[in-house]
Order: sequence, then structure tokens, then C-alpha cells
Amino acid sequence: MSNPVTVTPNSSIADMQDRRLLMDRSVTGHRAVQMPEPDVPISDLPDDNLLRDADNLQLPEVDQLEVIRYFTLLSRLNFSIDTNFYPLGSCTMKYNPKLNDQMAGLGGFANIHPLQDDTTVQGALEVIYQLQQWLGEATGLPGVGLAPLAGAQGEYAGLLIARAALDARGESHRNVALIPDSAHGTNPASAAMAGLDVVTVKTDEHGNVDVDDLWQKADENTCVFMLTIPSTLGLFEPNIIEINNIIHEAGGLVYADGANLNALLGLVKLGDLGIDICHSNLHKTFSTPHGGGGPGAGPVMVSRDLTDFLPEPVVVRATSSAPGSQGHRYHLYRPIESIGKINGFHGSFSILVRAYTYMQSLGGDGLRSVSENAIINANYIQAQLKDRFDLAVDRICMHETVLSGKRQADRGVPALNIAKRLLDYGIHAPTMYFPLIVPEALMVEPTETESKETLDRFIAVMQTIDNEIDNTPETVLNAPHTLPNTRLDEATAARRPILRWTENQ
Amino acid sequence: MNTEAISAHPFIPNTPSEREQMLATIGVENFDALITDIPEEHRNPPLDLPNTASELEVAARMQALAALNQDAGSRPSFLGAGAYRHFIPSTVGAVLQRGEFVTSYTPYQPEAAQGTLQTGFEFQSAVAQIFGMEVANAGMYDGPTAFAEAGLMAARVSRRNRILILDSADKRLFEVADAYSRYQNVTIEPISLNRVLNGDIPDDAACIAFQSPNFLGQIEDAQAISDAAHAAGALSVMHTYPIALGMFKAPGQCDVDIATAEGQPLGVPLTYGGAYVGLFTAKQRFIRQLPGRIIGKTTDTQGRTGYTLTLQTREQHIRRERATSNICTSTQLIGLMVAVYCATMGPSGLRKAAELSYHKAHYLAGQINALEGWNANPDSRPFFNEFPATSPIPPSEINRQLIQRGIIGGLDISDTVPNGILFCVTEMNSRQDIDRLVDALAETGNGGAA
Amino acid sequence: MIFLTTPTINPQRIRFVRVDAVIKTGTDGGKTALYPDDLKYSDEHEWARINDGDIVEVGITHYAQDTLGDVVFVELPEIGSRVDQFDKFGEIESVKAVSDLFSPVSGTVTSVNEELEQSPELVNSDPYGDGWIMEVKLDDPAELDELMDAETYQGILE
Repeated sequence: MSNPVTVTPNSSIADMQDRRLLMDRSVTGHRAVQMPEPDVPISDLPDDNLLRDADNLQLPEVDQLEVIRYFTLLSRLNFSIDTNFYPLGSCTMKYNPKLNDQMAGLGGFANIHPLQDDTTVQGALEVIYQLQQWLGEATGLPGVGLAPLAGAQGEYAGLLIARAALDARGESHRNVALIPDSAHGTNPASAAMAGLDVVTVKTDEHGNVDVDDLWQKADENTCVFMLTIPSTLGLFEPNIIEINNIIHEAGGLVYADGANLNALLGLVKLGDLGIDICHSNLHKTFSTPHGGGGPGAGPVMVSRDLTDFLPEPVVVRATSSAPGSQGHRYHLYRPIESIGKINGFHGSFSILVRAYTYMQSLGGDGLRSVSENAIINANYIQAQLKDRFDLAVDRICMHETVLSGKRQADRGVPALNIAKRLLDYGIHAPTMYFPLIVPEALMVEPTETESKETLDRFIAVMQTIDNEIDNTPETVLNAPHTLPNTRLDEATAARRPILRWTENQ
Repeated sequence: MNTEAISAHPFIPNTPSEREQMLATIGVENFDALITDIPEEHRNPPLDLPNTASELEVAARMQALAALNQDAGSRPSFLGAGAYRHFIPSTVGAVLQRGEFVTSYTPYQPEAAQGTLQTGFEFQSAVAQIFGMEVANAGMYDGPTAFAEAGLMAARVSRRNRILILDSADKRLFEVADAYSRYQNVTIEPISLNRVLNGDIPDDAACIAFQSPNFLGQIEDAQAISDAAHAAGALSVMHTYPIALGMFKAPGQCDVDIATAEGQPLGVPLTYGGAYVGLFTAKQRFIRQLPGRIIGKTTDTQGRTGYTLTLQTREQHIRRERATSNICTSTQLIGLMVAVYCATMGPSGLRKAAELSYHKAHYLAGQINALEGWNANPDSRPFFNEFPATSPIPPSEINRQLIQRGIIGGLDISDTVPNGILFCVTEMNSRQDIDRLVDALAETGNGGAA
Repeated sequence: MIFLTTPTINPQRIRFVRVDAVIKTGTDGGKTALYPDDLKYSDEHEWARINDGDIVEVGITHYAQDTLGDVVFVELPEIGSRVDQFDKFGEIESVKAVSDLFSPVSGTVTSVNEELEQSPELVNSDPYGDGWIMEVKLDDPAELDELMDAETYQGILE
């Protein structure tokens, strides 16, 4: 009997792709792996009522080539740093050096168990210890906790530290987090998790914190002021010293969201400015891969007098005369006033290995060069696009520039469509509609790892799209045209959610 | 500073002359003119770090550090307790070589991220199937944080504020739940199995949360616990071990409302405790209370199937301080490893991994019980692949001697079980490894020195 | 209704709109019909229709649904629950925005539009008809005087 497969030639790559899910490719009896037979005697099984019927477990049955071909196909549907310029503002999509991944995969790092005795994992503990030291030095905040698994967890840990420190001063009534209106959504979400009431502080017409507004709102209930630095507008806060003084005089603490630390390495230390607590996203500034949305790592850094509150564990170094110890031993340690465990083990160790590898590759001089070139690249783009696009704030920026597509929106094409059209040119869209205070925001962060040639092409593409808005607006409005999918119906996805494979869908 | 040397850095392409050109285009004399907003007295601080190093030097240094660790890949290991060494098929590492997955961002532009989104949908499908639950999210940080968020979700759904956790659960689960709920107007309290089964549950309990297999590897009666929770108007929350579900009843078969797990055993190496992925599943009717990222299936303007982030209004970037959680990652790349693992293992492979672990663990328990002064699984309860054993001499001494013999022993739990050691066995432990351990225990347990 | 996210930045509004429709936006296309004369309006963009004496039907206005964009979920109150004038009684969500719903009157909820659970898009397609949200048994008819007529309401939208 002949196989009833119909074939037709297709004109577009998108149509040629077989996007069927694994369960729809499943053939009973196919398998991608062979498991060994038991080499021990078979034991009795417990009561049937505890056991699962074999036919209750439904997973795909596919051969090994099918697995590889399927996931390789899917990988090709993605934009990524390895394949595209990715100027996604506030996300620091810099090159992720391959050495980092290779080092994290070494058996001595990848195959150690988190509950092994400290004496058997001295190399791992040294990585953690050194990274603590280096991040402390880079930020000027010497107390470093590497446990937080992401920026939002680092934030939450930082806020728990602030609350614990104020509790210890007998000021547990302080329950307000002051947060600028330009802040990322995790700031208020983390503050709410830490039981703080959020009070919003305005931004002035220069893009700075409105100091008068802050002055009025900082009071005896202020727990913490959460400041992103540089701000989400890509600006360094020039009144930073005065702001820190206002908060400290009110008895509160200053928390710096270090999402944008890529602009500051070697140029200024947060601790020198009077910041008390900050977090850093290793998956941004320190080049660990974003992985399509994690895993990351979000270390929390604090001033010396807050180190006792750090999350468990930190790594300490003690002198030792044990054989092979080279005079010292590293240990996991619970700080005496620790806010406790915020995750299962010791943090995203595989990410920490990558960040430490990266920091060694750059060194102190290289890290300074990172921030210098990140700032130059952003200003280079800003200088050449500001005649076509409004700027959120017309002044020198740090590592990213926030454009406003207001003029383009007035001509009938909102920022969303400009972003989608960029995809047709093989460039990932900038961050859109953020910060919330900028209409039609397009936030562009080139990073230091992109060449002048790439930036020149981006500038030319943005100018071309601006021309298209006048000449062929529908091309922009209906973009993208060249990707595996056109615009997706997100409304139906949310109204009648389909969240997994089922037999008849 | 040697600008020439730095400009040649492999990760930073701008040359000095390009920098000059770019600064001229910007319209400034020099770089310092770009950072005048930074207070002058704090500008350009000394950075006490070593200088740039070559790839060759860095690799050598990291390899030396890795070599200081005694890894479970090159010697027998019997540690579990929340992180497990299971077989990882070669397909997982192969797919992980794809830079298109590794170096992409969160799929906020769905047209340019269908690869990430469709693999995320595969992850949700596989996790929901393994758990027998109606829906799964796209992933949490790790198992304990998923469990902590499940307790908080139960409090939101039930509008009650006491999260009761069965006292047989890992103390790490209590600790993380405590850190997550400290300012949430909820309490975290232990409860005994007897109280639950006798219906002695307070009427303001948000949930009965339990771990099965529990910390000691024993199987709890999930159906009975769920029934008791529901009778008290509380939710049933189960934290489980996904490999065990290859042979033991799934939470979805026991009327569990929310089920979580550490996803690491499904294709992720131990890597000293992270990065892992938390698995989070629930009944369909709770989807708007789920924390974290969710991927949905939809169509594009040409009617083709595609995938997108959905139900985003629950999340921090929209709801801000009223979000269901502050999480803004799905630990997607580790989720990809899980998705490839599940695709490769299939139903028979997962079942086989579970059965091999079960039989090998029971073989070890039998061998230990035959040793003088030892008692394996003293409660005689059904267990999966971990069990406590009591030893004739302090566990710390036994483990010290095992290390000297090149064996990573079980976890010292003498703080909860007198002279107790928690042994874990998986399909990775050969009979030879197990026999070697038993021989070593016989010698150390008799007071014999290594 | 309070927009938790700034409505002007909601990209969903323009997601599936074709060029000709974009050009139409902003023109006064029969505005009067968009705000029926027989309804009362609150400045939070809810409307109230007085049915059989003391039963008041409640929904959101054309302006509100247009600003939200594609509505994907309406959190309905429970029948029998109390609502107070200008206090929150539920939430309404579009793809990327969430807004609180405020009751234009005080009273007891007598029925809710369960059709919205399956088809929340009715709020967009027919905000004054099939897209109604709840019915309330009114405590005090005098409260209706706190609401605006169609003309005044359109005035605040200018």
C-alpha cells in the first residue's frame, strides 16, 4: 500500500517548516534512547495503589534523529546574539564568550553535588569566593551574596536586608519603598513581596529624579529608595549625592538596581556614592547567556555594615594547616543575622563560573573599556538618529538611548511597527513602550561588543524605515514579512488559553 | 592604561581610531566629556583587579580550579536530598550547543522567538503529562522557590493565610517558604501526618503542602492527604521528584491542586546546586493565579500556528506591585534541557530510569541491613530511591573515611535521625559501585581505618 | 476604571488594525451614538442603565473598551455580594493592561454576565448590550444624581 503523503513545493521558508509538536510526530515503538537492564536483583514493588499504570504516562515516542532534527529546526526560528544584532534596551545583549560555557561544562564544576563536604569542593568555593571579592571591588560594596538566582531575587534579597537592618535598629515601622516612575516593574513587585507600600517619585523634565518630590516623600516611614542607575532613560543621575543624603537623613537606605551596571565599570563605584545595597544581573553586565529567559544570577552587594544580613550561604576563607590546603580553606557560611535561604542551594553556580571566567578575561582594565565603549556606541547611535527620531531626553546618554517614535506615530506608524519592521532587516527590536513615562519609547542598547560597522548598518536601517513610513507605510504597519510567523493573535491566546498539547486541538 | 592593548580585546572591537571617529560624530572632544554627570570626585576610581588575561591563561586557571573538586562523575556518589545524578542523554548537550537558544532573550517579540516559544510549549506539555496535571507554567527558579510560590498561590486562591507543611518535608522547603512569605501576611507552620489524616486541620488553613517522596525518600499517601485537605476547605500542594513519577502515582491522579518539583533530575547536571529549573503545575481553574511565565498556542494573521507568551497581566511588567510574583524569568534554557530530555527518554525511558533507581536503591538497603550494627529504612515504609540508615559509629566519621576511599557517601542526617545517613541510588550507580560502598561501610562501621 | 498601565502605551490597540482604519482613528465618526443618551456615566468610564425601578445594569463605556484594546478577561463579582458607589468591584484585562472596575452605584449584585467568561470580547463589540457586566439592586436612587449624562461625559473625554 502506498503512503498517503501529499507533497507540494512551497515558495516560502516559513511554509516549508514542519512545525508539528512532538506528540504529533510520535509513533508507538519509536525510541531515542536505550536504557540498560538492571544489574541487581529485582525487588518487590509496593502496594498497587501507590503505583502508576504504564499507559498513564504519555510522552512522545520518537527516534533520536527526529529529536535532533526537531530541536535544530526550532532553534532556527529564533533571533539570537549569535545570529543577529540585538539592541534590546536594558537587557545588555552583549556577546556571550564561548569560553564561559566551556569552563562551566568542565566535569569538576558540572558534576559536583551541592551537599558535598566543603573539603571536596575547594575549587568551586574558591570560584564563589573570588567572584564575591571581584564584584565587591567593582561596585565598592564589599559584602557580596551570590545566592540570588536572578535580578528580581537579588532585589528581593536586598529589600529583606534593608528591612532586617532597620528592624535591628528598632525601626520596623518603616514600610515605604520610594520608587521613581521610570522604574522597571520588578521594583514595585519586589517591594510588595517585601511588605512595603510603594510610593512613586516623579521624574523631572531633564529625566532626573524630581528632588523636590523626593524631599517631600522621604520621611520617618521610608524604608528604602530604589534607584536604577543609570536610570531606565539611560541617564546617570547627576544629583545622586544629594538624593542619597535626603534618604539617609530621613533614616532610610538607598537601593541601587544594578541592571544597567554595564555603564559604570571602572568609571564609578556605587559604594563611593553612598549607595547601601545593590544587585547586579550577571546575565547582563557579566556576559552570561540569557538562554531565552534564564537562568541568570542576581548577586546582592551591600556596604560593610550590612554584611551580616546577607542571604545564606556566602563563602568565607579561613586559615588552615590541613594537608593540601595551601594555608587556607574555603567554607560555606551562614551570616549571623542572615535573612535566610531564598533558594534551594548556593545560587546559580554554573552562571557564577561563567561570570568569573568573563571577569578574568577582561580584567580591571578591560572592564573599564567595556563601559567606555558601551557608552560611546550608544551615543554614536543617538547622535545620528536624533534628527529623525525624538529623544526621550536630549542630552548625552550612558550605555543606552531612549528614542521616542512620536513623530512617526503622528504620521500613522506607532513604535511597535517600527520594531516589527526591524526584524525584517535581521535586527532584533529595541525595547518598546518602556520606560512607561516615554510615549512611543524605543530603547536602544548596542553594548560594547558590536562593531562600528554594525552600528552604521543599524542607523541606516532606522533611516530607511523612517522613509518607508512616508513612502510605503503598509509595509511597516504589517511587518514582519520574512519571519516564520506574521503577527500572532495574542488576544485569542489569552481569552481561550491553550497551554499544552492535547489530543484534539 | 594601554589603550592599544585594550582596543585589541577580542570582545570589544572598536579600535582607537574608530573611537576617535565616533567621538567626533557625537561632537565631543574625548570620552570624559560623556560622563560629566558622574560626580567628579568619584570618577575613574582605582579598580584593584588583575589585568586582561588571554583565553589560554584563563582556561588553564579555571581547569586548575575544577581539578580541585572531587566530582561525582568520576567516583561513586550516594548523595541526593534534592539534587540527583541521573543519566543525561547525549541529545541534551547537543541541542544546548545551539547559540540560537542559548543567546536569545525572553520571547517578547514572538515572531522572532518561535524556537524558544515552541520549546517552552513542549516543556509545559511534557511537565503537565509527567505530573498528570492540567497545566504547567514555563518554569521557575528551582524546586524550593516553586514550592514556596505554590504556598503563596494557595493563600491567594483560598483567601486564607496559614500555610501548613507536612513535617516530613525537607527543611530547605520550610526555609525558602519562610523567606518568601516573611512579609506576605501568611504563616508557615509544620503539621504531622497523623493530624492531617485525623482531620485535625485548622479551618483557616490555606493548604496542606507535602513532599512525596518526602525528605527521607518515603512515599506519602497523596490521595489521603488531598482528601483531608479538601475536607477542611484547604488546597492540596504536593512537591515531588519527577523521576519517581515514572512509576509512582502522579499528583494529578490524587486530586492535588498545585504540584511542584525540582526539575534538575530531568536532564540537568548537578553543577553544585544551580542553575536548575522549578516545575510548577496546577489545575486549569487556577491559571490566572499562577506565578511566572506561561506560553500559549495561537495563530498568526495568515492562520498558521504559532506560540506566544500569554496571560501576561499576572506578571510584574504589567501588574507591578500587584503581580502574582516578582519573578521575570522562566529559567528557559534549563527548561529546554528538560524538554529535550523528555523527548529523548519518552515514556519507556523515564519509566526505566525510575525502575532502575528503585531496584538499585532497594538492593543497597538490603545489603546494608545485612551489615552488623546497621539498620536501613528503620520505619519499613515504602520508599523510592532514597532511604535513611542508622550506623554504628557517627556518620561524619563514616563519610570522612569514604572520601578517603574515593566514595561520596550519603547525607549526614544525624541532626534528625540519630546516627542517620540518607543514601540515594540512581541508575548511574552500578552494582559494582554499590558493592564497593557496602564493603567500605563494613570496614568503617567496624571501626576499621582506611 | 483606573488604568494600572498607561493606556496610551498599550500596543494592542493598534495590533491588527489596517492602514485605512488607522487613518480613521481620531475622526469624529458619529460620536453621539457611541454614548447613548439613556445611560448615566461615571468619570471612571462605567455606565449605568436603570431597568425596572431599582435594578441598574452596569458596563464600561466605548471610550474605556477602545482604550483598553482587546479585552481578554473580566473578573466578575459574586451574585449577592455588596458593591459601593465608586468602589472597586472587579478587574478587566486586555492583553497587556489591567484596570480596576468601579461600581457607579451602591447595592447588591443580582446578576452577572456569565457570557463574558467564554467571550470577553463582547465588551469590545457591544459595550452597552451583550457586553454588560453586572446588575445591581440599587440602595438609594439619589446616588444616580452623582453620575453624568452623555453630554457631560463626552465633555470630560475632550
